[in-house]
Amino acid sequence: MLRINRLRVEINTANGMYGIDETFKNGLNFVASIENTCGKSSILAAIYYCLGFEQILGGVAGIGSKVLTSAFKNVIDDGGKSWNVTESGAYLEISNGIEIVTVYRNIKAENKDNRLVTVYYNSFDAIGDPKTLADDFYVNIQHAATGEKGFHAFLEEFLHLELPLVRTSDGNERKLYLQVIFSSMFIEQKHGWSDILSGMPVFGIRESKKRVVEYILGLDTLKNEKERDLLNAVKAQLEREWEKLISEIQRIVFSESCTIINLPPRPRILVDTDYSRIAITTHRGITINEEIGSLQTEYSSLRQLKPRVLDNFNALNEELSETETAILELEADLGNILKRLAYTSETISRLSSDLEIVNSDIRNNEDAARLQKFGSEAANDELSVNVCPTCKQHIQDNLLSSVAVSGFMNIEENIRHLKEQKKMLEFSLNSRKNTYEELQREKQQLEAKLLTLRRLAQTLRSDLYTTTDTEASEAIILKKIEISSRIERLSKLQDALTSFIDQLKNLSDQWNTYLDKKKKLPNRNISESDNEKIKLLKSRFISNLRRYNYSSLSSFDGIEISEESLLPTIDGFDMKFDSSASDGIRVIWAFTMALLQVSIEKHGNHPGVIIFDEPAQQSIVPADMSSFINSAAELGEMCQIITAITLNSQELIGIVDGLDIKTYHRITIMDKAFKLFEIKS
Amino acid sequence: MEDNTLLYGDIVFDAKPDAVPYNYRISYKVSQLCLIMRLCGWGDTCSLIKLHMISFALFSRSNMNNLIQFADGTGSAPIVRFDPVVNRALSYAIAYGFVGQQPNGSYKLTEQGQRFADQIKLVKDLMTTEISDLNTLAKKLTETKVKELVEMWRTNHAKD
Repeated sequence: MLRINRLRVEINTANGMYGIDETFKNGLNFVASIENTCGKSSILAAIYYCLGFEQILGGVAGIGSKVLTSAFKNVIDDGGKSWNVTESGAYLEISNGIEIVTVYRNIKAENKDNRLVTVYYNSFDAIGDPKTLADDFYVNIQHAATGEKGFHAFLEEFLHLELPLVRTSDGNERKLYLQVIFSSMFIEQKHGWSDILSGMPVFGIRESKKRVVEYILGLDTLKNEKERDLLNAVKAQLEREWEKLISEIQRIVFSESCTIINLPPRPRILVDTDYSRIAITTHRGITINEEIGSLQTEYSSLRQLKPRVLDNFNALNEELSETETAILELEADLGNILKRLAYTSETISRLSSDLEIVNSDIRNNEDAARLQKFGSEAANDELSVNVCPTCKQHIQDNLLSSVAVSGFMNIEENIRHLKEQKKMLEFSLNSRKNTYEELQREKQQLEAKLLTLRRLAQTLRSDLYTTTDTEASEAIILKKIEISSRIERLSKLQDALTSFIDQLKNLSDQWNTYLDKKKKLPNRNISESDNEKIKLLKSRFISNLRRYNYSSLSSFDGIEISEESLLPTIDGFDMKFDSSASDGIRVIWAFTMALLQVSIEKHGNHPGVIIFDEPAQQSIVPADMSSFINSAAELGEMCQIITAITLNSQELIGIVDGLDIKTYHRITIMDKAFKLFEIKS
Repeated sequence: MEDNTLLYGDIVFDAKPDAVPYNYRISYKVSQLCLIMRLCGWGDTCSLIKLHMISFALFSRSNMNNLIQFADGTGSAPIVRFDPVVNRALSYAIAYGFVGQQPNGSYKLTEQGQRFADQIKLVKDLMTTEISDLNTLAKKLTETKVKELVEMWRTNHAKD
């Protein structure tokens, strides 16, 4: 719930402080004046500005005090005399029904950025109290909606709004910004009356109007959206675990110089045949069991050998020369790998330094792009990089004297160009790093093998040169040890494979559940309770239209709230096509009020505040204005409706005077909105 | 002739615009010169040679280190590359009204140029490495030092 309690604008001039200090009440509020152009819109604009919603007034680019009139920033007119504005700012006291805070945002200040908002955790009257805590927040810059020091993040928490994440047109996710939501309840004078939700700033949010209606009514579709997000997280988690498991088993298998085949690289549902196809083969291309079997036969054949050296002299001799050849081959392989390793690491360091250069290039180019903008501000718009400052002819933005055939890239193209280069370098660097790791692994394997062979050769030699007959052959004993330890390691690997398959089964089951849950999510279907809310919105909307004398249609039968867009349509078409200009205004009245009514009845998320700037647009007859005002007054204390109104006819004055004095609060502006507070002594 | 299907159509080479290194962008170099004068010049004033020296030092880390050591009086005479780009950028800066020439030949920032340099510093995330380097160098490289260096060139390399 949001309530606007009090607005105080302070504008300092040499003549003293001008401004306005008004209180707003629950229920219906009028900001009224007899004539137009008295600053009613300025008062409303100051409210928007304090809440950081100036983009509703000026579009996405309209950030900061640009959207405010010159009385806030430049010159104040007082009885024919004009005074220069020295510094200015505005206080807005707001409440969420329980707590009260006061927001201060400066409009013109020499030393304070107007994107800085100060929040005092108390009412305006208590600001002077040194015990009142205050905090600075940023508004309308990056992270203002999400960051810890972001004003809109603060406001979201203060108003107990839980803003959903919505999809943007570039496929990312973003918060449904407060500016976007409030554009459906703050109807501004210039854009606001042209169409339903027309004042909405464009932030690249997909179907932003629909999302806003969904949010205000509290529809389940948003919940489903959230569920979908959750599932996406589950999916990512599963994929990560799957990948980790696969690379883990690969590492173990490789370290035993074996390979594993038929691994499923991406998550999918596996059946028994898939599991049985996963197998480990040794470097000789046979399975572990076969390898163990052959090792065992070798082992037992060793036992049959007489362990005496003299008896085996010839066999030992032969074996030694075989081993030595094998060692030579392995050494050659190793040398090769070492060469490639050196080459790869050289390439990696070269690519890394290239990447560094490109990165710094990109940064500097981005700086240069921003400097162009800066320069033109500093040189009073005289600096433009495409125009020669002396002769005003077209030039290229570069300092090189040579002329390229097809000209030079402009800075944006240049940045894109560099970013592509960066991508290429990163890709290349990555693949080199992978190769490097692979080579490292191979090298370790070879070294281990070499070590075994060298040890064998050494024992063979010492066997051959031994002098005593009685001594047992060291080589045979060594071989026995080697073989039994290899058998042990292989059976360990076999066990690892079994446990790996168990884990894989588990993941596959989880994947199955995930797919099932994903399937269960309603695609576009609208839930039962949502349907009810949309029906209620329709009936409220139509009864509002009837009350405001919507006359472009003879019957209201064709009016629907489209499930596609959640906006009103006539026979499937946009309402605007078939409405007269004044009926267009009635549609906006009716829809804005209907949103509030449904949200109150169905406990939706409407903060309960509406601002109308001059609802009497387009020659609305006073009778309809009267029913509009009455319908607003009927909602009473449950909400706050602020209406700027020009009482330029007797009928309008009659309508307002005819209301029960208890049902509304009136702020009358005489002459000019900003009055002198105090004369400077 | 051999039947070579590959050669039937015309091959058209389309020239593409050239990429320009950031150092040769007007906006970048002009801003760099303004910052040098603001941060390293006494009274926002620098001689042409000093501008060349610092601009070249900003090219790379090691260049900058050499210059800082020379300015501190601990290093040997640094090598300076005189880049015509600096002169060109200087003419632009004068035309934009950021820089004016003094009667003694050195260059001084105008009020507009001072404002421009201060604004760049204020933003905090523009040209950060340049600004931190220039702040380290600060005003240590005096015109006397520059003259000393020029003298050294004259005596040591006169024969070259």
